Amino acid sequence: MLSLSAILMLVFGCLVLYGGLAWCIILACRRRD
Amino acid sequence: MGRDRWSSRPAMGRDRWSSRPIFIIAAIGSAVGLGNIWRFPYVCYENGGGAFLIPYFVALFTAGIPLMILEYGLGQRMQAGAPLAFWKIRKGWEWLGWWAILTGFGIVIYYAVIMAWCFCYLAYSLKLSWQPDTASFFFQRFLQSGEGPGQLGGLRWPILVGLALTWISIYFAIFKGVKSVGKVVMVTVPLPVILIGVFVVRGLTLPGAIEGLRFYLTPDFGQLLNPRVWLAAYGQVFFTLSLGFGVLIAYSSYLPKTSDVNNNAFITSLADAGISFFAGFAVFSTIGYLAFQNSQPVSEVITQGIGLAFIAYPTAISLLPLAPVFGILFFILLLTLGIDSAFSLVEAGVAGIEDEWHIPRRYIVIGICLLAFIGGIVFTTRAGLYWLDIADHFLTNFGLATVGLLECIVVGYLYGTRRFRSLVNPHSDFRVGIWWDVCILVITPLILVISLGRIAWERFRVPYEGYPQWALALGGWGLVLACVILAIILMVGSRRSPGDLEAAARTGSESESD
Repeated sequence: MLSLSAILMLVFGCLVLYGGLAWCIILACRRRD
Repeated sequence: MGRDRWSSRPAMGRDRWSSRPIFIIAAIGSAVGLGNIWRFPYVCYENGGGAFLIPYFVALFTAGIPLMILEYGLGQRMQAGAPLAFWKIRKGWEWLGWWAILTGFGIVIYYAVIMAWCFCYLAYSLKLSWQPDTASFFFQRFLQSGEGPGQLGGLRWPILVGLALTWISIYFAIFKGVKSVGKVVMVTVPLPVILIGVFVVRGLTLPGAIEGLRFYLTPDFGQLLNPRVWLAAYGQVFFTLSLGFGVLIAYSSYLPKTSDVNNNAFITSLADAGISFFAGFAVFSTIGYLAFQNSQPVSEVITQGIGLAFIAYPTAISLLPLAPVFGILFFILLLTLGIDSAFSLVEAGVAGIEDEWHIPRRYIVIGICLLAFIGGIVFTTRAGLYWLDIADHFLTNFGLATVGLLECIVVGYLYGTRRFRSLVNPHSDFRVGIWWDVCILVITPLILVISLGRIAWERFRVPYEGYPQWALALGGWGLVLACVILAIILMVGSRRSPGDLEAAARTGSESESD
């Protein structure tokens, strides 16, 4: 098993990268070109 | 009102991406390359594991994304490739655009050779020809490497054939401009992400995978006190995002002038970093498996770059059930990762030349592909690996970083950050403020000056990798200097008439008033 700190960094990385990406894409979709 | 701004042939005759998503996918394709799989995971492991994400994200938000906004904004608002865009921003700085393009051209010459190796290994995957000793196969049988850069020996014909295939592929990907690029990237961008997913799933189900992931993710927060870790983070961000080559300027110049800039930069950068992070799971789970099979610690097995792609990973693949299938998939992954990065580097040059001399596109593309193929022949000799190593080190560390620094100076200090923000903010999904100014005026230049200073000091003290001085002079310093001199020559060769100055001034003022 991974340590708690490794899991936390994994979650942190996913939140920033994939959460951030999703938010930016949602913003882009809201705006009509 | 005029035509729809997404129509393919606007009044100025400039090519247009068929939609914003296609542009973003192409930009991601340019940024995401071999380094995302063979460099990021290792740099992460070597610099504190999971803790590295902190300096990496700081670097992304203080250097990578701001510079990407700069390059996207430059191309899109000036509606020009790098040389003309810099000229419009500040007269006399066209040579910077040419230098960026020439550095990218130098890089794509050897990058294509690595893709040629991938084509060869795709064929070798059928019978796992690299067994039993992958390292020996790579260096002695495949590359047939000599003792040093001076021993060119003969050509390696399989690599030359692979190189021809690579340049033919690049030609057909871009010969029709963004129309063909837009279609190609719909395959070359999603496919490697899917294949990385296949290797993640395959890797995570192998014994030893978790041990590998421990090395990747377990944080060592003490490393955050080490300045080298922060420099490594900035270095990784800078190199991974296709900055400083004129590519992003060229690509964004095919967008309508009133398209978003800021959010496109965020999406491209986050997608690139996201793919790197994801790829790390494929790498470390499989390397963990290899270490487990060999009863070795992961630290003795993990490596980066060419060693990972052509030695360690194929070794691991050989141990898998259905190994030839995974071998083929792996090298298709590397090829699709590399091809859209490679042709984007060529496209930057095509855009620059088209802007200046109005030569029909297909002749420019044929010319560049032929020239690059011929230039790449030296890397297919028995000394090819050494020359590749030298060229890569000098072009990326000196050429690329200096271009980035000068971009910050020209746009940030000479043009003005507030003025530039007023160009990009009105049409973007969200505005950027003082944060961007601080990043472009202070943080990014500071980091680049420190990095350049460090590496220059190292290079003057110690010859790179112990190569002979004549080889470093020819293939290293000489190459960088040649790019600068050629850039100045190209600038002088395209010296504009007063009529051009007037027309560009009109276009420039239109850009600022939109």
